[in-house]
Amino acid sequence: MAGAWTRRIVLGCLAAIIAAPPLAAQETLKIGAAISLSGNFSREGGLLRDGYELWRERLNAGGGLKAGGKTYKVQIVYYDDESKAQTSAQLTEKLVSDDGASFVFGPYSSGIATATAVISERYRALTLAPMATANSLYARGYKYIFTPSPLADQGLVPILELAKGLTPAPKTVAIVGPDDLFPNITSDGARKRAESLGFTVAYTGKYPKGANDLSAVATQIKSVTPDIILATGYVQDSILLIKSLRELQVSPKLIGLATAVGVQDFRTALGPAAEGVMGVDYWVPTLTWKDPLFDDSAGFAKAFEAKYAKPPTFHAASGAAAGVVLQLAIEKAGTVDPTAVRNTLLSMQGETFYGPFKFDANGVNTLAGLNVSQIIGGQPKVIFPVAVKQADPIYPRTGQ
Amino acid sequence: MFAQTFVNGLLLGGVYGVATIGFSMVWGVMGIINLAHGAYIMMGAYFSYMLASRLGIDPFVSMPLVMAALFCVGFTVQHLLLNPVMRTSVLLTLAMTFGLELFLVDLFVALFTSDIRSVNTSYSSQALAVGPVLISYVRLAAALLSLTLAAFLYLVLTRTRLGQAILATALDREAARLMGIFPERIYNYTAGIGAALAGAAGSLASTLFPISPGLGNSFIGAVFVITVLGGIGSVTGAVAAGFVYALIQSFAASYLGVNYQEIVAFGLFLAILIVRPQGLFGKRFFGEV
Repeated sequence: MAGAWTRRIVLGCLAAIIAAPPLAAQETLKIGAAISLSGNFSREGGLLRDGYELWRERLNAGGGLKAGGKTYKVQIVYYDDESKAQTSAQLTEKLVSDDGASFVFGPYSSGIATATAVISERYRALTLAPMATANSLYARGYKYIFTPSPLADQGLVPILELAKGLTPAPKTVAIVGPDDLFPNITSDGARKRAESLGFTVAYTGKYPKGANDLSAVATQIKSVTPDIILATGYVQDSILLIKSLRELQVSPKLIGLATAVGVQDFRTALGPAAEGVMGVDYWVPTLTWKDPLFDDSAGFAKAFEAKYAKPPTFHAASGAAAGVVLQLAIEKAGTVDPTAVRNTLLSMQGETFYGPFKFDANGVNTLAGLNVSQIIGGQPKVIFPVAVKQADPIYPRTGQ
Repeated sequence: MFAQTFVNGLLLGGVYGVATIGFSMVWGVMGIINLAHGAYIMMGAYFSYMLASRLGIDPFVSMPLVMAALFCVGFTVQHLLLNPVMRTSVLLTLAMTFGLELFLVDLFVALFTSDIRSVNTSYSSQALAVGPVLISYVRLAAALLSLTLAAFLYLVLTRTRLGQAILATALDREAARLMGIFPERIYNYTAGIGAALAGAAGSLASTLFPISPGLGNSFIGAVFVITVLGGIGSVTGAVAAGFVYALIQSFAASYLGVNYQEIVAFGLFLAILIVRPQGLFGKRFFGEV
């Protein structure tokens, strides 16, 4: 008897499998993501994937993606690119040619995305690259890569715009940072914007990446006594720079960094010396832009914490926002044909919890903006744009 | 700016000197190029950081403790790992210390993560004003302590039995053995002292620079140049060359641009190797063990 039952169950299961697809009447939309889950960028890559995953899960839980009367369940195929550009390019090729992904979610870092963009362009796979923001990537005439995030040259611009409205009005600016691809783009962008806003750029300096002592830089900056010091560096050299400035008692009215001052290391390492320092954030939880999936940034933060039991970072926010941008474009286009979706993206304007978007022909989001936070009373507080601020800026800076 | 640049160089030079003495001595006495020296400096910085953040002990105060801890590390590593290897081939020690460096740095990444830390003292923003020149108290204290340590070590080497035995072993290992000195025991002490000085340099660095497991790497280049500049194995040479190196770096950075500080410093390194291979202050025999 047992044998007969076994046969019945097996047959039943087979029948169910054969019958299932027509019953479901739901199609699958495949998105490929070759992303750094090991190597140098494993942390950032992992955070970005968290954002993509949260979007997918929430979208599918709400019924999936609706386009032209059909409903699609979203599937994301992930591969680990080991933080290597060449590997990422090969995996992207596999995703779009073997795995049949017609859309791509970009890797972490511009360096890697520069290698993968060539592939997605060749296969016309529409790519959203929220964490690849080097200007050069969007100056090659590629048609299939879009980023919802602001580009690298914008890195210090919001601090300058904020400074323009402060009293007593700051006049002179010093810009300093490591001699490296990304910081150099940020530095050039800041210099141009400072000049167009009417500031005098009294000093621009570069130091070798990994320099162990910055007292020479601090001495040079001291000799021009700028009102504003802007630094394009990473966390470690920004800490060293602030320490060196402090030792030589250089106290400008404003210190602005191109990195987020919310980073824990930054505050613990500098202690009271971090007070009053401003930094730039891609995303802060107080933003009030709206979208249909997460509602707003508070909604995104809540959903993220519910899934991952930790507060979200801007990497994850940008990843989820890239998903929402794609979702809005596909729904509006009414098709999952990548070229049609691309044309829709170019003609539409919209917003996600991460910010508003309108793309130019190079895939650059012309409405993207950055936010400024300042360490006030030991905690990072959003001070700019005014619409989302948690506190008024402390100016001139009072910290040592 | 000239005066401030000069002072910046002087203040940094002392720390470079202490960072170098141990490395130079180990190289001079045993012929070992200890690539783990940078990791010892990093460990010293972390010990100081721990004592400062957990127990609130100022790094300048906890320095003897840190030095004692690093002495034990250096002594034990020499005894257990390096002496056996030295019996077969001194060149193999290079590979061994390289491996040790990788191991220690990764160990500290695992223990402390690569988050950046820093010791903040209440006086770290205070400075002595001499006319337009500011002399940071932290840097001044670090420079003076460096000189004191160097002087102390010099006295140990020239005035004590252990010091004489170390110098004797450096000069002629076999002759020293005939005089009743056990070279391997002397090597243990030398390695211990070298590591203790690296620990002292780490202590001082913890008050000046952000601390991460890669801290030693930013020093090891300078340490190499200063060792050759000062003459391998020479204590006074290491200190004097530390000042020369830091002054050159400081002036190159201020007047040519910060990007030039290393080009000029390493250019100097190559020039010294060609023109005066025994170093500016070196005596020939120290390096020929």
